[in-house]
Amino acid sequence: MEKIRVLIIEDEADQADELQVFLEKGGYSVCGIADSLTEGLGLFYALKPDLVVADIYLKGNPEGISFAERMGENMNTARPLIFLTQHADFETFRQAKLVSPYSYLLKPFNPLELQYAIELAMEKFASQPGGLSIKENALLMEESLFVKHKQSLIKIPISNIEYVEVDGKYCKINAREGSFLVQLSLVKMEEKLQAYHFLRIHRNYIINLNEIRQIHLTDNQVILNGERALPVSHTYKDILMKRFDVLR
Amino acid sequence: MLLFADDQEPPTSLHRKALSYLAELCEGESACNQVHELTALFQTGDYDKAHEMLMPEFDHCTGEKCFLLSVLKAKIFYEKSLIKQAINEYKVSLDLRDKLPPSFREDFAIEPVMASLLLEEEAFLTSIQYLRPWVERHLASENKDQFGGYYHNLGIAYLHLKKFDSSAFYFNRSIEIEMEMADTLGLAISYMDIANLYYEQYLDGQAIPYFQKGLEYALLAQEPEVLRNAYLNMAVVEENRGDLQRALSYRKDFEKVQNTLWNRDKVWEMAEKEKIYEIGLKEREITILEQKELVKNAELSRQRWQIKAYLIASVFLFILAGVVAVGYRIVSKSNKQITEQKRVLEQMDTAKNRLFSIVAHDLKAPVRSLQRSQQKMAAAASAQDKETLLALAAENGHLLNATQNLLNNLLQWSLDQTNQVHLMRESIEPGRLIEQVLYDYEPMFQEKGIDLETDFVSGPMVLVDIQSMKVVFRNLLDNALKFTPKGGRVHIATSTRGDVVRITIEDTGCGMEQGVVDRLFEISQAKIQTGTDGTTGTGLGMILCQAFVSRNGGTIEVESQVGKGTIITLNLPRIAET
Repeated sequence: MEKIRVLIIEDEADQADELQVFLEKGGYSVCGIADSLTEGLGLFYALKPDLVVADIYLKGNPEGISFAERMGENMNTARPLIFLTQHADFETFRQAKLVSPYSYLLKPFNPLELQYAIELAMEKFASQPGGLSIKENALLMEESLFVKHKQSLIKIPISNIEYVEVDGKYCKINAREGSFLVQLSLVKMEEKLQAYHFLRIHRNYIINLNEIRQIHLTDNQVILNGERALPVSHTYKDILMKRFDVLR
Repeated sequence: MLLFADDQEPPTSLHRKALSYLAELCEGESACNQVHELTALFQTGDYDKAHEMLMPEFDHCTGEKCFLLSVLKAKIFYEKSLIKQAINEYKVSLDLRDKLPPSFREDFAIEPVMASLLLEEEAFLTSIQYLRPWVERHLASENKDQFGGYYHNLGIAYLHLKKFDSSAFYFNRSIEIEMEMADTLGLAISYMDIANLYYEQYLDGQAIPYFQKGLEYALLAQEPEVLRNAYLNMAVVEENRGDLQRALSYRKDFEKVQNTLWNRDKVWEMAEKEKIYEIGLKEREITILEQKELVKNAELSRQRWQIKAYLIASVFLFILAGVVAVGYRIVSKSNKQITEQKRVLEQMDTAKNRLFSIVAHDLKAPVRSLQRSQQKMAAAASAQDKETLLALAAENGHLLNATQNLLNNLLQWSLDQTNQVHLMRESIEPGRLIEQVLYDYEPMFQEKGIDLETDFVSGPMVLVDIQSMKVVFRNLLDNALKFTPKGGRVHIATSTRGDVVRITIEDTGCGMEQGVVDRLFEISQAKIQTGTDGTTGTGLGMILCQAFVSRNGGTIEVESQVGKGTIITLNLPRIAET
């Protein structure tokens, strides 16, 4: 399990401190604090954070917006963004109708508002509205699965997932860092993981093909690196063998 | 020496094909219309006009179009009996065709046409050079009737060149096809030509049966010109053979057919002349009628102008009357509007003035309290009375909180009134929104000893501007906090009813009289309420709540009973789930 790394761009030290406290209490890690556009961009490219919280006005100039524009120029390196704004600037900010997706946080804010803004920023960035804030609690973005877990968000790299199994209506992700219940059906999960090295082997299981240690054809079993043995059903056996040939 | 040369008309399909290709090629209405016009000219046989139309097109043509135009030009030359020019133009066409895709070679069979024209010009060798390779490349299986003609032409060309073997070969192939097609006329001609072939070589024994066969088929075909030639051929043959009696009989038959031909031609001539005379008569009649009509038309147009003039004048008058009427209505309507607007503005102005006095009162009270408290604090400080100091500080905190809320509401209200609130609607679970506001209020409820209960349904969503809805909930929670006594209870719940999400905030506070409830959303001094801690409320918060809820597409309802409590219900439209 990895903590989500946040870059703060804020020129007022006490505000930045408060934000850092809120974030760390909420289970996030603050990887850097910048107080200007230049430093913000420098840290952004150097640290590659998962999320950015930027004040719109830095020393009286709308540098937060400039930051968003500069970051948006390259979609490959862009990240979810939350704008921090004062009440006095809020109307001007709303009227600006920025094109790029973002979420915003109106000062003063409380931890619940911060958490909501983070979820919204991630959803908008991944173009998966409601992926975290409504019903579902998992979002796939950039080779990682973001799961809402105990009022916070955690990041599970796709490659760390060993297998996914059905758990009632939803499914359970079994990763190196532990198991997490995700409010998605196995079918939806399969859709999300299709692009990676994942394959359905049973109506209850999707496995990471890179985690296979052995396949027992006679027993219809797959042994994973983590020693776990999973059943292979007849329906999916042929597809598994084909995929395995290709990988070998 | 008798030779019956077959002047066969070249296949007419070439120019038709060219025209249909042009029609497919044309772009734009005017260009396509031009092609239609050209097609019409070719159909009516007005080749001079067609030529006139065609020539400028050559200046700006490329590839396929140039080729098609050239085919048409050659056809025009042919129709104007300019055979040499037609041949030259077809040569140009052939050169152009070679640069186009091979399919054009199949679609436009120019060689046979060339060959028949060359035959007419007696350029037999060249004719063969065009026709023979083409015939050999194509199979006779398609277009049998045409191939009969081609073989025949080759036969004739070879015959003229005195290449009798080749000539006989092609005539025989021509006969084969004509037999198959039961083409009696073609057979008559072919047999006579082949007879002539042998006759040329003095192979009379072979020639005569063919001449006889030619006559047989000519009789079957009943084409006078061919029959005439057949009889004449037989007459000459019999004469040369010395059978004068037969020769004479054939000669008589020949003259008979010749006469019918002449008669036919004469009848034609007479009919032509009669036609011309009658046309002259008709034309004269037409000119007379036309002149009469001109006179009539002049009269009619004069009358029509009169009618038009009347009509225009009346329409003009009607419009004028309409304009005056509409103008009058606009003026009176705008007058009405102005008075209405004035009334509304006056109302709003009084409301605002009232608001100012309320706010002034509201601001004056806490400031005065703070002033007093300030003096007390100074006294307590000098007396080192820490407890009193702390109590005063806590009291001041409440006062400042209340004042800040009032100022916030004033700011929101002024933004709303000047239309500066731009809503950004987002979908959210109402519980999720309320809980964000509630986070800041929980300690205050706890401090005052009020039970706070929530009961949120998960699932239903609303589409609202989150910031303005937060202002609404802050105000409602403020009121609940202010008007509920210690030990009271505040219950917040969300539920769905049809396509509406209901949010209720129920308190066990002091409640309001019905008269106050009824005027809750009006700006007036009369409804100032005193909270449990002695602070007063102006109701500005409730007015703001109503404005913002309705901007978010919802409604607000208030139920209250003095001494029992108040229930505020918000109804917000629910988003259909996807």
